[in-house]
Amino acid sequence: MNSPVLTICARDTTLTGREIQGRVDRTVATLYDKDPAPPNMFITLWPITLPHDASQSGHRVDGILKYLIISTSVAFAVMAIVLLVAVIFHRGPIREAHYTHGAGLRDRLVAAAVGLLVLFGIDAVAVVRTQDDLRSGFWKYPDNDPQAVRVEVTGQQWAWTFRHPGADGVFGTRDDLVTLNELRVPLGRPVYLQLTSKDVVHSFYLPNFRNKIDAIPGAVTRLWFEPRETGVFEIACAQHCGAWHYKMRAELAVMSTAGFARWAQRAAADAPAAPPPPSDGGGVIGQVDKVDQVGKVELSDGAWTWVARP
Amino acid sequence: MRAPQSVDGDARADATLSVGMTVGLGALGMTFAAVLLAYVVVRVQSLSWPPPGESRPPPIWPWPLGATLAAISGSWAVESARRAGARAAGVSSQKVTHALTAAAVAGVSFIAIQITTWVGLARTGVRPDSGLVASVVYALMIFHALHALAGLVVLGPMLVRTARGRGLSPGSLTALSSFWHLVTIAWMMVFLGVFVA
Amino acid sequence: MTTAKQPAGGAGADLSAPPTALAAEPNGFLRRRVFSTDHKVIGRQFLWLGLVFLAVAGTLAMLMRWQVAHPGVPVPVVGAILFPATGGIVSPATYTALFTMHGTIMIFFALTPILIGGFGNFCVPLMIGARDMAFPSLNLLSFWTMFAATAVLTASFFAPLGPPAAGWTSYPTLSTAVGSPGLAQTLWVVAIYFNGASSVMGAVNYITTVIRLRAPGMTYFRMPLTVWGFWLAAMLNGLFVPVLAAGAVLLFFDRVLGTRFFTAGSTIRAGGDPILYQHLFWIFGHPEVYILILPAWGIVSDLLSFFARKPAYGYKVTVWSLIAIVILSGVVYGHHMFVTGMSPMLGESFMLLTMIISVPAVTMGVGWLGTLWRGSLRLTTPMLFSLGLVFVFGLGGFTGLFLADILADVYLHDTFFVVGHFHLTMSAAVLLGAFAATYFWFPKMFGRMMHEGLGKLHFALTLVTVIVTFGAQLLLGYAGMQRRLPDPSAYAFLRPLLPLNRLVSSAAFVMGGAQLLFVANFFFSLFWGPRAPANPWEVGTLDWTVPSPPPHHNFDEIPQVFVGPHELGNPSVKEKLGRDYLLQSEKLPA
Repeated sequence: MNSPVLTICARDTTLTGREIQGRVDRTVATLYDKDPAPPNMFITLWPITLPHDASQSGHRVDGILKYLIISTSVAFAVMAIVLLVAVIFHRGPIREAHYTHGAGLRDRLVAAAVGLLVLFGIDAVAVVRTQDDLRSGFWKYPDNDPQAVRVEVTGQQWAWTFRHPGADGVFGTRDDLVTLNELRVPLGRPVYLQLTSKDVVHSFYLPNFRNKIDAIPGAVTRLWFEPRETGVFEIACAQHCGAWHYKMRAELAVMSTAGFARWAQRAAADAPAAPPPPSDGGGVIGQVDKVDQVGKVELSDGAWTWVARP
Repeated sequence: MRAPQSVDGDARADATLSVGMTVGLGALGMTFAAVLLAYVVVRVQSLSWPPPGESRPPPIWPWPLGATLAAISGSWAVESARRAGARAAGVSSQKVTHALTAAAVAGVSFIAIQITTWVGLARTGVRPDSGLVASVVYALMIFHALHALAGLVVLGPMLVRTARGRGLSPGSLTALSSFWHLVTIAWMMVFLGVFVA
Repeated sequence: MTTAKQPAGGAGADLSAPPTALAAEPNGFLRRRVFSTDHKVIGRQFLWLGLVFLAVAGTLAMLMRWQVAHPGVPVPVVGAILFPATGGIVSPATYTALFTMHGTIMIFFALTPILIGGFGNFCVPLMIGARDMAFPSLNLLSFWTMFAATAVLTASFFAPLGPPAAGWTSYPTLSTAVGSPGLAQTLWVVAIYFNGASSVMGAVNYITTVIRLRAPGMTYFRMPLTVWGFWLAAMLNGLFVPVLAAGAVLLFFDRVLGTRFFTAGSTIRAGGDPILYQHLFWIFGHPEVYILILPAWGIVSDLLSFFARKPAYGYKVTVWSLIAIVILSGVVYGHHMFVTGMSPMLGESFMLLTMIISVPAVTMGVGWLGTLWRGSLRLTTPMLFSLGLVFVFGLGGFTGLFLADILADVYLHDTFFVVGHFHLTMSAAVLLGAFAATYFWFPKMFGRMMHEGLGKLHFALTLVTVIVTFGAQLLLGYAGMQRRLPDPSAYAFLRPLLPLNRLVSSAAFVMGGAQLLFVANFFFSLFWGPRAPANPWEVGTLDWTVPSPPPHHNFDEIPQVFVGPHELGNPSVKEKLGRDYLLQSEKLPA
């Protein structure tokens, strides 16, 4: 095959696929945290709440959820009560069945009425509210807002990298700030993310901001939010992307304006200049044109990965 | 697909077969439509066609034209088999045997031409993994050829049966001809979409 | 009946023609039991195959739930045997294989064979008064194609680099040759293709059978709702499974030949579109969930009437609702892709259409409740399961509205809310429906009655555990927990959810254990259950007019149909015949 394959170079090429899988499994078994002491299930079961809402727009989502919970619970309760009454009180063999095909005008009107009630009481309200919320909120991207903090997000197996444009405000220049698994933003400004992926489809999920968007290889998606308080919040991956999908966690740190400026300055000073390309071409990560055999590679943090057999 | 009743030209059984065939052709049409949709999407979303860095399929004429000819003559042969069978319902007809043999020859030629096309393309360095254009050419042609092969597999027992002197119901001939025509039409679309457009 | 005008209803048999000789019954074990074209045999074969794989997929789920509830703890008893390399612990890679195979097997190799292959095959010809399916040989081919698919899928478990692990949806680019190297995912694609081929063959058969082989007098609006369910499901199968086949074939070409339909393009190399696969998949995928639920809806609509001893309420409204849902199901698939960054206009259209499906679903619910209301309910095991389906589907169906709403879905997508929703609707409701069907048709299929007491216990345990397990998953999703996590404690915001996860797992284990009651009942009754009469449930559909089990040719004479399938509780029937039900082939004396 002539197609380039992104891979990690193989070191020990004598192992079979099964042996490699065994080594991976053995290593991985040690990666789990120890089983925590079983908590008291019944006391800590309730209440189940939404994650803390740290965004300006999150209340819209909470609002629609609340509306849907209440309206569907009412509808469901009505259904359940009718069902229960019928099961308890309308039983044979003592009681005779009331013979009707339910095909009369009144019956059809009842069905129509219930259908329309659900259509206008639940569906229509939800649609109208949601459209309004989306158009005036989640889909109103700050394209022309000079205050917006723009960040390029790249998902990969299994980490998130974030690129700030740096002082010159242009991406792809030497003053860009690139962070791994850590997104720092200042308070008081909308944050405008553009996302892509290096390999498979990931999903950038902010539980505390009620938002998520897929990161798709070969495409650019976008998401915007505005935090309303400082703090550290979790970023999760919400699309199955391989064995370590569950560990693809990053952190969103919302800082004060001053704090963010200080960090940006320090980071710019700390960020190393771009390293020269490896002279021997045999670096740890690179592109090769041909893969001969299955191999394994050990990375510094103990994780393992595969190369593909052509 | 054998008709559930006897082969004495039972009209009911043939009507049943034609309903089944309609459903089957609908399903077949959907799958071809989906593959063509995939082609359209991939092409429309591309920066250009052929995409930058790629070129159109190399001149491998006259093979695709030959395939078209084989497909059309196969359809024509099956159609005349159907007509011959309708006239002499159930009675073994020499015409039916001849027509089906011609169809079989056309079908086998079609497959052979396709394989030759692929081998020829591969010799010029265009393999399925050579790029997006090659992906489309190979995928659509192979997908189509597999269904043409299925048609030949169905034709086989029918040809054997009629060659042995036993009759075929008009319904089964109609079913076969409908399938064959759909496969021919699908080839025209693949041909136009891939080699012409 | 003249030749100029077809008799009302089916055209399968002309009673004025001289009776044709019945086809001789085949002899020999192979032709009778293994390679039979008899729809009853094929139906039972599908049922066995589906039940076996149901058990396999259920076991996989138990393994998953163990890992989530007790991360890093070896699976008791079977752990050391199944996962020797890790000392019995479910590793993350294994977990991905578990949820992939659980989903794949449940949908394609358990529910589809049990409901559509099993009960569809067995019941449809009997209920419409036909001797067999329209294309018996195609039926045989359909089963063995499904069998071949299961063989391929089973082989994929043993691939050198591990079983398929890209999720039952197999999204590229994770499912491409680079994302999932090795044989397993390719075998998965092949298995799915053969499974789809089997389904399409079945669709051709079912659609044609219902159109062509209905007994005289069996108009469309006199068909049992069970038949409507299977017929409409077959239409969706015939239309949309081919789209999955196309997606699967293109994925196969991508993996094996190196084509680029679903690989991402870059600045140096043109590529296709991973999202194209999602479109192709969900164009099939959404109708698929309706394919799985329609038979259960049809069956339950009939069973509620049978065991309430009164006609189905609003038969025509129910039929039109089913048809409306079938039509709508083709145009709502985008709600699975709200977070892929699709255009807002497209998103809003999908939202609106998906919401609209709630209307015919609700009118169907009204029909069910109206059937029960003022009935004379007989709480047999099939009836209990049918009532359970109404309750559980109500719960699950309403949660669908949350996911139809884009705003809520952006938060809830790929969380356990989705898992709870589809398990409540699809799995539990369909599973409850399949159990209802089994308890109901077991006498007809095997000639014996199942044990009522054991059945009721099975029902009680299953219903409670289903509601707890999947209802609690709704709560987990509401709290924000994403899917497909072998160890949620990797995230701080999910650590407090461990008790709830443990509750889900405990309930799931009890649910799994309770199914052993069903297995015991099934096998015990098969050999030692009391012999079943022709019509133990005292209902009027044609399948109960023949002996239990029916002879090879089903009906000695093709019946003439005079009334609908739910003539129960009719006072004039009671007066003239002394019972509360009228057979469809029975003419009420003047």
